[in-house]
Amino acid sequence: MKRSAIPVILIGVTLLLLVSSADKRLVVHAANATDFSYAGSEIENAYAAIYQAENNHGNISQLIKQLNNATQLLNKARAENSSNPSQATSDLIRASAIAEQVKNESVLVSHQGLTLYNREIYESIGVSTVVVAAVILIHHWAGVVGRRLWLIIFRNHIVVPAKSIRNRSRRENFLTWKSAKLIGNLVLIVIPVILILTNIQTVLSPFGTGWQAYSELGLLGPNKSISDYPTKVAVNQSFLLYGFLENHERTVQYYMVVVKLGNQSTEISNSTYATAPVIAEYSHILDHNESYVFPMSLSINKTGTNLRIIFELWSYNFSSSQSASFDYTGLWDQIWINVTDY
Amino acid sequence: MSLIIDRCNAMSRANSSLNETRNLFVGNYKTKWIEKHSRRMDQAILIREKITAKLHDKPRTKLSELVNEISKEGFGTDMILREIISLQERQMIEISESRTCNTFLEYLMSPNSLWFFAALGTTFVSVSLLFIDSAPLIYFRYFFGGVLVLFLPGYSLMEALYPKRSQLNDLTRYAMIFVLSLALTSLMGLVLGVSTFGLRIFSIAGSLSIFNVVCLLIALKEKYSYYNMARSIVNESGNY
Repeated sequence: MKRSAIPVILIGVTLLLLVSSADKRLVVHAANATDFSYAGSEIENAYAAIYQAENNHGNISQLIKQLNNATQLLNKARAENSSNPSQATSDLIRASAIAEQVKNESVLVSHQGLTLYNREIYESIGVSTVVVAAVILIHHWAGVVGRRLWLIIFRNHIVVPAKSIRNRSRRENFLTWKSAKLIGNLVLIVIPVILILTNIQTVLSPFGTGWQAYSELGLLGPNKSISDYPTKVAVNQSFLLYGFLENHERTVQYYMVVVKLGNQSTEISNSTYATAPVIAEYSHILDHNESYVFPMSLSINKTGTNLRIIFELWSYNFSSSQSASFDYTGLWDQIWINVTDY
Repeated sequence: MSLIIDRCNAMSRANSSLNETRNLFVGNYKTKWIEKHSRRMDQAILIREKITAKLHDKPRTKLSELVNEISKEGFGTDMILREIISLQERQMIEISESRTCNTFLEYLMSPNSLWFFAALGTTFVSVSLLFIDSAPLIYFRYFFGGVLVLFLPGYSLMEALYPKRSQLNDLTRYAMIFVLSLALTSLMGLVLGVSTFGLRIFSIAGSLSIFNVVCLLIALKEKYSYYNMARSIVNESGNY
């Protein structure tokens, strides 16, 4: 009896050990600041790689899409960290993995972009040279060819000395040589000039930098319109707003909308951001000329009257200081709100 | 001091040798150019004399016959054509139809309607090239796209508004064509932008093409009316 009990006890102990070790693996703590910081820095590094790829004229639209999946996971993790910490940690790990993948792919896209850009430049120069040569050749030979065509078309027409003409009105209907020459010259000058300018726009791209570069931040109500903004909410009651972002900075931008809870005395301007507690953060990457509307589910955990929910736009800047970081763009929005107990 | 004088003398010698070299080349070129052009002018005068003599002997000569006869005397066809056109522009000779068009169909198939088919064909080619999006045909698309936007709308409208060539001088006409083309394309863009079609490449090309075809048809009808009027006046006065 004792002999047969030993293996059973051994199996039982092994199972207990396995279960206890499995429990240890399943226990997930709430994601801490380091986890967020790690995922955030991975996304920033991937963004830097995308930015570089764009500078090298690579096609980054797919990379932006991928990296925005990572920013969405980061946003989700921020929102759910208090209610569902295991999911938040898992999201952060996935976000980091996506960012790492994007960073690796950016190198290839950057290389491809540079190769393609160089080819475009050579192609532009080649085409412009061909156009100029064609214009010179056409200008030289168009007269000879045109006169031959003229002879073919009007070969059966009658030539008479001018003195025998009593009525000249019939001439009205003919395309005269003079007007044909004028049309030819105009077309030969204007169209090739436009053609060359269009074609060499990649070479002349510095001219494009004369446009005003700017970003847009907007705040929309729960119906995605500029109306029906909440004015009174209960404490800890969730309410929905929509943010609007648009990038006209001529380069890809990594934006972060920082939502802060201020009051009447909170100071904010186009140069100074508000010193107030942050209640939410939303990150998104936008290519030039792209816009983005995103939901913001907010709640306030304290009561008060004449409170302000301030929305600041920050963007990731490589040149502002020695180390790249998010800088306040000077764009901000706000809504006034009363928070009551019920 | 003597060093400066030596340097000045050296510079002056260098300058004079440079001038001699330049005179040698430029002088030779000038002489050749003058010789070439004076030969051409002599030929041109001779051809004009021949044309005048031929027309004096036979006042109503077919254009092809006239060119053939003069070219038999050793002149190049292009030189002869150049001089015929020059004489026509100076209104010293007149080139007219051998027989007038009695119906609209005849008028449509005659060289009188060449402008109509040229404009219609260019519109058609421009729209067809919209389906091309790769080199090398893409450059033809750029060219014909430019013609469709910058030339054809103004051209067709001006032909419809002023069908008689004498109503406007050529320079004014073609300046107006470019300005009107730009204005019309912008206005069409504005209208399309607020319409259900939207501001898209095919909606722009389609609307411009429809506009061109309508204006060209109006112009053709107007030109035919003027032609008919001129024909009836000539018939009444007994010419031709």
